[in-house]
Amino acid sequence: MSLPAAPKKRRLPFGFLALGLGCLLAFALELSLGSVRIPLAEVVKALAGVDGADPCWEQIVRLFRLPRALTAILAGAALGVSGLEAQTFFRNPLADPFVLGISSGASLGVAVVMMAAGFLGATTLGALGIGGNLSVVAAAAVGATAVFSVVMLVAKRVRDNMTLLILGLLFGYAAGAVVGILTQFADKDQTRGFILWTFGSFGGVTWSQMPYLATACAAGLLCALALCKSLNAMLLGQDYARSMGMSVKRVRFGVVASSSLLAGTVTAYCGPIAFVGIAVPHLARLLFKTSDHRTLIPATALSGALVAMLADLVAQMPGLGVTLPLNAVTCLLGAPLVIALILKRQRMMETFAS
Amino acid sequence: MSQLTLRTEHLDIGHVRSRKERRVVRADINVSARPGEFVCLLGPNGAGKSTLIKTLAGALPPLSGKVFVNGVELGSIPPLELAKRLSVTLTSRVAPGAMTVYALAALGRFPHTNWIGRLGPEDHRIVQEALELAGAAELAARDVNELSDGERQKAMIARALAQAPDVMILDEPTSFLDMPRKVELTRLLLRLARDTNKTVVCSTHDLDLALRAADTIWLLPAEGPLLTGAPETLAFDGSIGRAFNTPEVDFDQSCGEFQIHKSPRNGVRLMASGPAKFWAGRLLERAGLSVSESGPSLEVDDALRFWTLDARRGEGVEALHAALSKLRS
Amino acid sequence: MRIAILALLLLAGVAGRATDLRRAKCFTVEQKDGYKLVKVANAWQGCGDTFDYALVPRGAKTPEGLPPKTMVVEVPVRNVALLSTTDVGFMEALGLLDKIAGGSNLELVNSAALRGRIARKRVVEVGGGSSAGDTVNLEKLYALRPELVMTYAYGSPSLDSYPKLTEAGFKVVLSASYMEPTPLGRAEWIKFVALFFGREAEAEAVFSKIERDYLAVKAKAAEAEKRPSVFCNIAFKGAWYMSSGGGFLATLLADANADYLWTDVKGDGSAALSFESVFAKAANADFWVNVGSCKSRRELLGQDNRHSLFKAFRDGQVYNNDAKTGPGGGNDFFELGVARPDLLLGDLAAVFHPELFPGHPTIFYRKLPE
Repeated sequence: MSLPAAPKKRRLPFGFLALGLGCLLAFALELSLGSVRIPLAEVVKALAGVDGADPCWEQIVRLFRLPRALTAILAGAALGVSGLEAQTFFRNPLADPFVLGISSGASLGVAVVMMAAGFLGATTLGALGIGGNLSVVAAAAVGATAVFSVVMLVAKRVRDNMTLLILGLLFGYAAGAVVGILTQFADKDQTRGFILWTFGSFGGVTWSQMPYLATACAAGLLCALALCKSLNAMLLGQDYARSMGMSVKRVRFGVVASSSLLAGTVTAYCGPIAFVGIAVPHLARLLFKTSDHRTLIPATALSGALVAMLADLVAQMPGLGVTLPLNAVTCLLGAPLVIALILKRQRMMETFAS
Repeated sequence: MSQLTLRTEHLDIGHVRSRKERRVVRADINVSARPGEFVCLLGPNGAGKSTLIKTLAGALPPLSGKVFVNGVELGSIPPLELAKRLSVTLTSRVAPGAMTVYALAALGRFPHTNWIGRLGPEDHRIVQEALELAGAAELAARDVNELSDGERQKAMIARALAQAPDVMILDEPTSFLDMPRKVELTRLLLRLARDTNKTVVCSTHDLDLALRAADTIWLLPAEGPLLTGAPETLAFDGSIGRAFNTPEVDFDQSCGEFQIHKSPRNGVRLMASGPAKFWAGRLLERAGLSVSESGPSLEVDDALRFWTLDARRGEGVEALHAALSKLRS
Repeated sequence: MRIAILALLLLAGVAGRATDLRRAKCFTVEQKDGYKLVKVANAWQGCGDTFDYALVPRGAKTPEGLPPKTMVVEVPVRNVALLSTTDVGFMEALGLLDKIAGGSNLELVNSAALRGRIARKRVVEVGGGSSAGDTVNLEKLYALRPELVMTYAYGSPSLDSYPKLTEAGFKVVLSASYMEPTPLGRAEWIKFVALFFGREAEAEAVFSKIERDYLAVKAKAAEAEKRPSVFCNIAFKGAWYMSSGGGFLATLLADANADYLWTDVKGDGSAALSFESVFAKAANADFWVNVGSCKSRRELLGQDNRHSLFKAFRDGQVYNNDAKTGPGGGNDFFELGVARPDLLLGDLAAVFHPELFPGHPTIFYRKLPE
């Protein structure tokens, strides 16, 4: 009897090619479209560093649009992969990067800095030389790390992932409650500043901050890639994965750490961004019709980058002069997507491990 | 001794609720198994079969005592090494998402592949062999979601084989299968043990199949120690009967089956041959009568179609049943 | 005492003109038979209702034929609870600080005289300040027995305190000076406050002087040869909320003879622009004002290091309106500045045209240090 062949992989290169081209196109659009109309030729000149480019336009392209596009790519990839890890590990199609309360922890940190500054004395932070933006980023990072640490401590004593999930959700609610209390006692301007932060934005990251964002995202993505074999084993459930030699403790730590690093970093630099983390992994699964994480992780990263850039383009409302909050756009784009996925439940559940 | 792939020594199994609370399900278990041996673990519900299986597989820690795999103590083997020597197959139906049967079987190479799980030519060869041995070769390109339960279990066994273990442990693998598939799977396990010289330990509720196929039975009664032996030994010395007997049901040693208790019944003289004799006897039992030397006579043909009950003639099993029921009253 | 006599004399001569409003658009005064009807329109952004107040002399009969929902207030009022520090400037100019029995956010008060009274416990803190959760302490307010409560509203049922206060039986009037788009309009609200205390003539005198001084500065600034370009506010995460072209700040900048680059922004508040579009327009602007809470250029960089791209930043021409802050953290720009737009304009004119106002010390604005 003839031996069965190794599985066909024809679909993959085509899919990746399409995604790659889409990303390049979106990147080009991000650089050439914006509130200020800049002719395409000038954009190219500005990038190439050719003499004769209008200095103002050159600065806009290099100092505003280029970092913004790069941030969108990093954030989209990070959130997508973080969501993928959470969905596989917790065997929950509705899990997202913030399921462990990371985003709420970051929000709490920022809320404390922005709204409780009256108690601390706004002058204290200035005197410490910590710039406003940096303090927001630092506060978000500290908040996210704090929640992460608590979750890890609990994760060590808990055998069941479902318990971890519930605890993460509860931490999220608790942090959100404290934020609500702070909002109650803050004045109008402080509240406004905090609300602006919750809108989410890719435009706040400057070149000086980019190395940190890029390093953290790269580290998180590589860590996720290193886990892809274990994530594949997790498709069969924890018991089977353990029996095949996977170390549940180590993988749990790895997943929680990398997912939190990715989600926490993006939240610290861009604010809490909804929907990308939950919708993009499903998108990748449906496009490539596979559960194999060796394909899914790069696919999710590329899809996330593409979705993030598209959302950013829409939010900038090129030519209209006003900007929309980024979170509003991701929800408007993402909600129909998720609804369509749920309506196609049958197909979705087939591609999802449960 | 070095021949034994699996051995336990004064093993206590059970659950640890908290630091103080330990619930011992069974104490002082001493069993062993050899390469090429097919072992079936039998016992009534709640006796602790699942706990024993999990402890042997390393998923539950022993409360005391030791488990040895290939002569090495289970607790000291790192998980990846253990996975190369011992594979586990569980009862429940898996839904791994969009995956072909080939990919599912290839997951079994987990302990052997590098950090990203790349499959080399040797790995592919082993996976293909595993699929063939498990009888799942034609299913290789199919999506796991499309498979029936029986096909899915074969795919899972292919995965377990791909791990290239010395010991295969299965926890009630036939539970959700229909009768023909149960038989097929049990036969498959026996063949695997023989052909690949692996040790196969399988817990099951299919008493009949186990008694027919297994080399060794590990019998875990509701109370009392674990008993081991050949199927015939345990059946003949009444151990099986004692382990399973309940007020309603008896284990009949003479035919190796469970019989529903016989209350005193009227007898019927049965005249038939071959399979028809066996099934006519079943029909009498169902009608509340028994086969005896005296009483009304019943003659049936070889096809169990035309019958003569005393002077009455008739056709068909339903009609016979009706007539027999009248006899009872 | 002498001031009182003088005021009475002025009252006689000036009473007729007192209710003429030249600049304020958000309230009107009608002299009726035996009482004054004050209407406050536009009490908050998007307010559709008008609030009517009938100011009746003490002891007189309640007039008939009042429009429904008119609040009747007996004047002159003898003590008031002031739930907004923006009216403190008016009270002080009218010499009415002793009528203030209670207030909110008293630590933010800048006026030295009032701070003295607060320290001597003549003024009681009753809460109801600018944060959402701070509600007015009704018990404390009752204990003061104020004849009038002057406050403001957002138009939000959850945040506004005036409905509950009215229900509780207090006489509540809404002060909406902050809704006036022009600085002089805002300053003319001194007359609104004066109406409740019978100081209309004084208010007119004070306001007239302020108006004259303001217009004098404006005329002087108009003589300048150059009209510098100016922009305001800062970027936050790539978005820039630019103040509207018809608002308070824009009017000040225009009157100071500067070219505010976003006079085309419509509406009352601000527009959400992108950093890059602000940069494209203001990259070479001469001046940068009102930079939020930043106290130094280093802080500006800390917010977003692309702030250094602006020529105004590189030339050091960045100014913030936080030069005069009180010991409690209150910015006098929002207290005294409301009552004295002439001083505000003087500051800005001196900043933009130093050659016309040599040596003029700025009160509210300061150049941002390194």
